[in-house]
Amino acid sequence: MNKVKFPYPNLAITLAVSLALTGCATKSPTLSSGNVEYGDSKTVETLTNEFGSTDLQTIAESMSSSLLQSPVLAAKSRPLVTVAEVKNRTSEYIDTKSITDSIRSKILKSGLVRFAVDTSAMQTQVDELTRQNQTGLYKKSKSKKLGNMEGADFRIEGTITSIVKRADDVKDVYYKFSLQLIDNESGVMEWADEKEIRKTSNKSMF
Amino acid sequence: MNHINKSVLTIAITVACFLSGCSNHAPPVARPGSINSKLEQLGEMSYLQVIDLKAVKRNQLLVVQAEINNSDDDNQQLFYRFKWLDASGFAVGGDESWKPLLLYAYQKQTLTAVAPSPQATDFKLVVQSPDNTGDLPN
Repeated sequence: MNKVKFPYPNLAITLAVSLALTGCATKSPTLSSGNVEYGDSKTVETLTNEFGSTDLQTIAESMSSSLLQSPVLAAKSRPLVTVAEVKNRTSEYIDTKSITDSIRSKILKSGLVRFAVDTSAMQTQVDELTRQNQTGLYKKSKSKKLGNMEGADFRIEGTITSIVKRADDVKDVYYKFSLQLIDNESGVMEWADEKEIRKTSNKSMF
Repeated sequence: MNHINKSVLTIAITVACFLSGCSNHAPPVARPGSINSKLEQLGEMSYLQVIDLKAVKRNQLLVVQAEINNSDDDNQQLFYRFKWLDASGFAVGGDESWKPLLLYAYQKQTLTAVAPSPQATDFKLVVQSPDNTGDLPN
């Protein structure tokens, strides 16, 4: 039987042993005190039962997917929508604009809907058009004309409410996020949906 | 002996890689079209099982419905999220957030998801239950 001989036996053994000892370790490109680390922004966060990142993300995903499935949006080719106010009727501070911004981003990414400037961004829009048309700094042929803005077909508005109950050591929080799509011309509510979240905590945990 | 043969060298490198954590324990290949081919389990779940998986295109968007069964006589927690893929296998719409789902004892629970855009033509359901065997996905 002809066996192939390896010419450098010592090299092979050294290579094998060094691989075993080093564990393929490489240095991470970090500079850290050891107390701070990056985590997963999409993780399920249950540090307290106040409104948190998981609630915001869950509501945004649930509402955007439900809205994209509504027949009224599917019937029109890329309808124009604007976001009105989402009222916070809970007992805690919740940035509802952040929720609607997430919903809007998700719906926009689908490419099935367009969004018109909402009331909170209207002043910036007016300022920009004024700057282009009335300061005399821009070529007339290159400036965006006044009076060409498009009115939204629909507006999105909603509320977030909560019910908080305490019994002995247990605190129960129930959130309800309601969203509606209203036809701006007719005033007809064309779609509505709700997302409910229940969070219960035990006081002895804290 | 001044020479070692090729097979000894192969064994030495394999053992070294195994000890150093470079081993790659590849799970068995799931049958195409099966539920397992659409599942990514982070540790094999002890009591929860995906027993049905349906996908249909509605309003240009892929809609997926999964049925989860809890075979335990106690409540079980599930964490899940979907990965959406386009026709070329590239991820669409970024990472979804992990979502918690409570299943009561012996309950069958349905979960539904809608793809973020018409480009999504395929999906993976990523599931994790705190009560799992810790084995690699099958």
